[in-house]
Amino acid sequence: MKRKLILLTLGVLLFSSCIVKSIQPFYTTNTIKQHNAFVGNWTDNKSGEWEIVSFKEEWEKENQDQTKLLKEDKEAYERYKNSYYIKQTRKENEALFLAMPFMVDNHLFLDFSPFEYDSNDLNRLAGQHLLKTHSAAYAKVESDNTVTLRWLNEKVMRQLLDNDKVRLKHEKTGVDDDLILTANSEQLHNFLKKFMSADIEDKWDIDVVYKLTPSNAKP
Amino acid sequence: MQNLNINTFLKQTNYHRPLLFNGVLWSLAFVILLFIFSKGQNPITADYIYTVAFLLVIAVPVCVNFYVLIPRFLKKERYLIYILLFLINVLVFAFTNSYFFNNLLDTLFPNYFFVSYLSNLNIYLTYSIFLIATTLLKLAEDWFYFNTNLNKTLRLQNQQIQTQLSALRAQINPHFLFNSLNVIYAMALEKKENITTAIVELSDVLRYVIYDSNTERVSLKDEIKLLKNYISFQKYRGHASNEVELDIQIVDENFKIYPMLLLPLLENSYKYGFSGNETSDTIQIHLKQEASNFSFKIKNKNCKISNNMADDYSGVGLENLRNNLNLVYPNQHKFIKEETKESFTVTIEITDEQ
Repeated sequence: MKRKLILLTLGVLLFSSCIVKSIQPFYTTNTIKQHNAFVGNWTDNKSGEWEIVSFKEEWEKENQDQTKLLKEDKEAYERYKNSYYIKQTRKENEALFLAMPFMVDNHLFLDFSPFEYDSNDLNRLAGQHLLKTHSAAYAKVESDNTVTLRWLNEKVMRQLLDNDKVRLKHEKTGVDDDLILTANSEQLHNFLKKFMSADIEDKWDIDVVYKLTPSNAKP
Repeated sequence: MQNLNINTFLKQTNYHRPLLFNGVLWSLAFVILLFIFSKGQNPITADYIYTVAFLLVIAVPVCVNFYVLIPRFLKKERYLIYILLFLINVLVFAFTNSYFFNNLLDTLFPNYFFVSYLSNLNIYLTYSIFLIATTLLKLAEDWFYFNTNLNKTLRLQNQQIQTQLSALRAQINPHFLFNSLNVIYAMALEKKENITTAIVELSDVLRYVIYDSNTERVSLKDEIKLLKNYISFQKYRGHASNEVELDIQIVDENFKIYPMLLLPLLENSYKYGFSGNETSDTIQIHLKQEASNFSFKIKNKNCKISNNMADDYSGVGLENLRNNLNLVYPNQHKFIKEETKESFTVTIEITDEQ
């Protein structure tokens, strides 16, 4: 129970302050890119541990008897078979995410969304107010086999919206005026496309940058 | 009389207002597209830029349609070729838009994000709807001006007819007056006692000719009264023993006809139908009216040859009458002239739904 509470707290902290969040995924079905380079154990630049496994492999392990699967289960499998389970552990705190790799032109992205957490243990009523949102992380595989994950800076997004530079469906909600995108996936993907080519200062959130190094890599 | 050339007049008067039409069309398109692109919210700078750019780009296929396809194919009733070329026009420019428009905008406006406007499918749909709508507007505009021109043509034609009729009447009235004055003159020479009565009767006839005949239609009753007055007046001129057989079979004496149609024929009969005064020559008049059909037949002896009369004057009167009938009863009348050595007959048949 404590673990789930930590997961939720971490998720809320991670995704509520300064990265861009969306109700809809940032990928469309035809932009999904199966990519196995991330599978494995990683250590990040903030002493966190990342365990990344293939959704497909994990699913097949857990559901060897296909006859017991419901129609909804099969649909979910088809939808997420190219994604990853990501378990991030930092200071003994764990967080589970579902991450879908997809391409924006020649750039690889991961669509992150918190996976399976129990808000009842934290506070039943507060938990019922929380929503599993999506975020887009730009994944860059470096030449030394490390991977850098960068998230879109919410401050930049707000500036674009406030300066009438972009028409993108969104809402500002709550006492903190939290920004959440409500555009559809195609529009979000178009936005990322333009975002990648745009010359914008501080387009990535510098507080949420993870450099992943393979755990078994020799220094 | 010189006819007005209406077609020349209309060619000189261009009622199309392309600047006005295009101004209204594109302003309307701007407002509608801006509303669509801003998704019903307050428009932002990016919306204005996208809308103006989109209109500039879509103006090309619209102009191709307006100024090439419609005049060359649709207006010449080459419908299949028009539809085919219309579809090609839509597809080619929509395809071009889907591939190049956003890249062009990104190049021209690198700091703006045009990411949530039209998907590829919606570009094809928007192009199709836009071109169909503008085609319909163009046709409506053409119809509006065609209708305006048609009304102006009809008004001009009506004005032309009225001018011609007035001119023809102006030719009839002096003609009649000239004949009548000859009669009075003859009576004065003979110092006839009833010349005053004759003048009164002539004035009745003239009153009718001058005032009543200027109305658009007169009743058969009035027209017959005129004929009778005229016949009575002619008795003073030495036609006392000449007989006029007046056969009237009228169902509705208020049946309306164009004024002064019959009198010129009676005049001609008096002038050319008697071999001399106080003869036993007769004029036979048959007047019939039933429902919407009216006929007038007048027959007299052909004395032109025996009296050595030129055909010019009677020719003018009959030609005027024929012109009047063509103007007033187009495709609704028959004018039949039968001339033999012995007799001269004119028949007028009119069908007029009243």
